Amino acid sequence: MNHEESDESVLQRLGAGDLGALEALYDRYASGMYQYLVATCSSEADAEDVLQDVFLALVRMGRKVSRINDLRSYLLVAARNRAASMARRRNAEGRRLQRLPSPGRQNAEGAGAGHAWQVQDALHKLPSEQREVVALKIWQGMTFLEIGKVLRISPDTAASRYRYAIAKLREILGGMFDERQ
Amino acid sequence: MNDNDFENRLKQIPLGSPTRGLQGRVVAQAKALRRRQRRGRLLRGVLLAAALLLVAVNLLFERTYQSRMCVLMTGSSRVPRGVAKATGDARAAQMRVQLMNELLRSNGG
Repeated sequence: MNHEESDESVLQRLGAGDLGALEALYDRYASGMYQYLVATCSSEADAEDVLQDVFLALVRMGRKVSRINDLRSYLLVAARNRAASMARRRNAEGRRLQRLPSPGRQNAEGAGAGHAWQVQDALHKLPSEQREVVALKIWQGMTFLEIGKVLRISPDTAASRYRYAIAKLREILGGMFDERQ
Repeated sequence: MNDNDFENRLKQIPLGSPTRGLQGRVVAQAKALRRRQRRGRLLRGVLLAAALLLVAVNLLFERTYQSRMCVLMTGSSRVPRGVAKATGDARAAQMRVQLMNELLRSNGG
């Protein structure tokens, strides 16, 4: 039986200079983080830039990387901070990015990509603080307590933002699910 | 449809995944970063070694200079204790004064 190596052990290998450990961490966390970033960043390209930056930051930490206790939360907080700086930079540049799906992506992912795009679009109609709670709850499967730790808010605040967000998303997307039935 | 159904439907729609080449790009950049870090460490080591070597050579030349001065002034290469203890400019000045005194004393002055 093949037991999955613990995060601590992978981080120790990374700290010792083994870049195979970076690939293992990428396989474990990149997809989930990307889902969160796509919901919070202004474009898919930005989400990928932030994702890349977060993983490179782990390498930059050298041996200190093995001191990280809760890796998933650490990565999400790092991603959140970087996404916020990127958003500030974009605002300063005065660039208004259009949220357009990359042309190759829809072909690659088939019919489901259309719904994904609709959901992304709906998420971006929510205030950012509600959007990130929904992304963490729905696509990361986190509890309100865990969400509170990542976003530095109380679990009650997280729950209340989530409820408002779900109500609004139901208004926007309700028709989409009716179509599917 | 209640809230739970709605949430379950949402969970079934993945928001996408990073492009396939991204992992390769991250690893390539990590390798380049590691190379830069190694080079930086090597450069810092070389600079530190060079600085230590400079200090060592400086001390060696200073000792040689003091010994030669002592030979010229007193005929002995032994540096007087007070001179060896002093540092920097003070040491040089003190050495000159001490050697002059010894020279005057040996000439019966």
